Amino acid sequence: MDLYLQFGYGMIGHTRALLAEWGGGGVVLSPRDLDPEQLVRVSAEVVEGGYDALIDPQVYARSSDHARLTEHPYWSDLPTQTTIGLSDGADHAALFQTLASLNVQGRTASSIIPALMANEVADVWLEHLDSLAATAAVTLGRDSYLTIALSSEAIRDEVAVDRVVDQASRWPTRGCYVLVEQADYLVTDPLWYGGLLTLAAGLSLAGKRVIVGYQNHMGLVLAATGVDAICSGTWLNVRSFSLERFYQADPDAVSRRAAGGWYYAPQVLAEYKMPFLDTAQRLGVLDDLRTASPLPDTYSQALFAGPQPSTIDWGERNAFRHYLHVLRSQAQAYSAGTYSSNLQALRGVFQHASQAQQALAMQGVVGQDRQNPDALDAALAGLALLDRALGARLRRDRG
Amino acid sequence: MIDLTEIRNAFAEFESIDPLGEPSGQKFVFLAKKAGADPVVLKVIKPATVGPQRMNRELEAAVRVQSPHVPSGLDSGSRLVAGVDVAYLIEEYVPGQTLKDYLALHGALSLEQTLGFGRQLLAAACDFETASLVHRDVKPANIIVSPEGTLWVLDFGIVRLLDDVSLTATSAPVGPCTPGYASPEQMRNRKESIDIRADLYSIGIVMHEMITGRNSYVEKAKDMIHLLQITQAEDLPRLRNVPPAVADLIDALSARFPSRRPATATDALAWIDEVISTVVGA
Repeated sequence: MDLYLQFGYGMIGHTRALLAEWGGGGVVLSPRDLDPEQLVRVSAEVVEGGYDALIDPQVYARSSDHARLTEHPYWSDLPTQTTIGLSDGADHAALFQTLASLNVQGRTASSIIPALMANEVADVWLEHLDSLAATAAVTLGRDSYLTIALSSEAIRDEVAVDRVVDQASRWPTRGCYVLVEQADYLVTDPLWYGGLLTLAAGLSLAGKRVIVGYQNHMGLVLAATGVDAICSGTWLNVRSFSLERFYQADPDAVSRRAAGGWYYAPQVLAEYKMPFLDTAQRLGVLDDLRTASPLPDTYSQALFAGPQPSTIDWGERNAFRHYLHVLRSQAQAYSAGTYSSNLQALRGVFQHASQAQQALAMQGVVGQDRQNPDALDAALAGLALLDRALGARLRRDRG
Repeated sequence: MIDLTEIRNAFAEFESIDPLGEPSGQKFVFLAKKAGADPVVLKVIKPATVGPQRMNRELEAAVRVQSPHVPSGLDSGSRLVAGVDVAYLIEEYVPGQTLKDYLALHGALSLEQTLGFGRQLLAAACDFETASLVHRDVKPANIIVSPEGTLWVLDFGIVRLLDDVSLTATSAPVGPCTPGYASPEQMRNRKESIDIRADLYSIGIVMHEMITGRNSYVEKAKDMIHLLQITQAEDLPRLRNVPPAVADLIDALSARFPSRRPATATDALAWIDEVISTVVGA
């Protein structure tokens, strides 16, 4: 499982640096955060660098009014203003022609097919996807990714997930771009994880290439499912999926800026602000937060070199790059084996992180709203639900 | 009820006609014999019900399915019985006992026998798949174990021909089925989701029963409503006393949602062959 960079506010510099460092990977570009000229230019630049670029049209809600998003030419090609409008087959042609042209200009190898988010999986929404997939197979090509965006309620419903997976096997397009709404940054609902994992694995078993967007480190559980990539980015609003981001009222960057930045501790699966790293140092447990081999400490070495962490010139830039760099290594490592070995490894990682978070918190080292053992326990329950739902088929297919 | 004497009069070409099993709704089944010929099964259905259409489907299924695990259809039509036009179907008679009786007599089966029986049922499902139909009522009472150990799948009374119009009202909250063996999508009458995977589900339930000697859902249910609820909401208990590969196969076959089962009967048959080769053949 690879990590793609989910574009949000201020991602261009990070993208250049990280892709060059990785020598691989890809990006999902955001019209909401790039103007039409930038969108094409960045896409072409990424592709010319030898990386994968996808343009997400972000038509999850027909009523989105974010000014930068709605200024893109394809937005004016969207059919009628009703929420079902996108499924009016006759109107697809103009929209898809514009998107095809955009993808040609951006030199992308494949396209993302826009689709509305479902609050519940109803017949009309499935027909909407059928129609889009059929049209896109002709205009955008069979290698396109059909957007499957579900609400946090819909993903908890086993019948809904089954219907989507079952329907997917009939779509002529080969890819799925999965987005699942989150009620919180760190989700604590086991059924949410169970639904996400079962959906992702089901699509993968159906032969689809699957990319799951807007993930944070909790999305590492997806390494058990066989999906091709998860996407993550810098600010919180690209590390969890919510429709709010596509309305004008949403700010460009989430305002919870931590003075001096923050640090992602990969073994603990939590994020800590600088004052708590200082606390950890004084308490003699800073090493418990260190990014240890085989994970790369390319960006974080200085924080653990001796001086008080908050005195290091760290900041948000390094916080973001460290987060994404390590997350990619984790995503690749946890998905490198068979289904059984990946599952076992993930259980070990999440159980260890849950215990470590609690132990550190007992000592006064806390990640505040960026740590939550309940979320880790919920993810572990989600893995159990996945194993019961599709473990048999995954073991047969992937060992 | 139907008058046996009238039946014998209407089908006078047979030397003897005797009831075979209990009547099922409006359908009556007889063992019919002619001198010098193998006995046959005569099925008669009373009119003025949905029956004749279902009988036609059953006949169509008997014609379509070419399987060493399904009795051959020999003749069909309608005749006057006591002045009333009834539909009938004559098919090959298979000696033996039902799997239901077999399990009652022998209790839980060995792993090897379960896999052997399971393989035969999945081979039959492949033949259903080829014929583009779903049996929809695979259960121990509809499976005959011949003295040689061959399994035969009987009673296509609620067969679904996938290329034909459904006989079940779309608005019906529950589709035709045997609770405890029928797939959840069949019980919910989700017609668009019903395909061969519904039969794979039933075969998974039957295999689970062969291993444990009981139907876990039926055993657990307090009443029929509870049975309908738990078969839709709860997975069958994972088997602990068998090799994991066997538990995996039965888990997948009996999964509550079609998307979690093998996509085709052919794939399921290949899967059980892999399991037999590793578990039994090793």
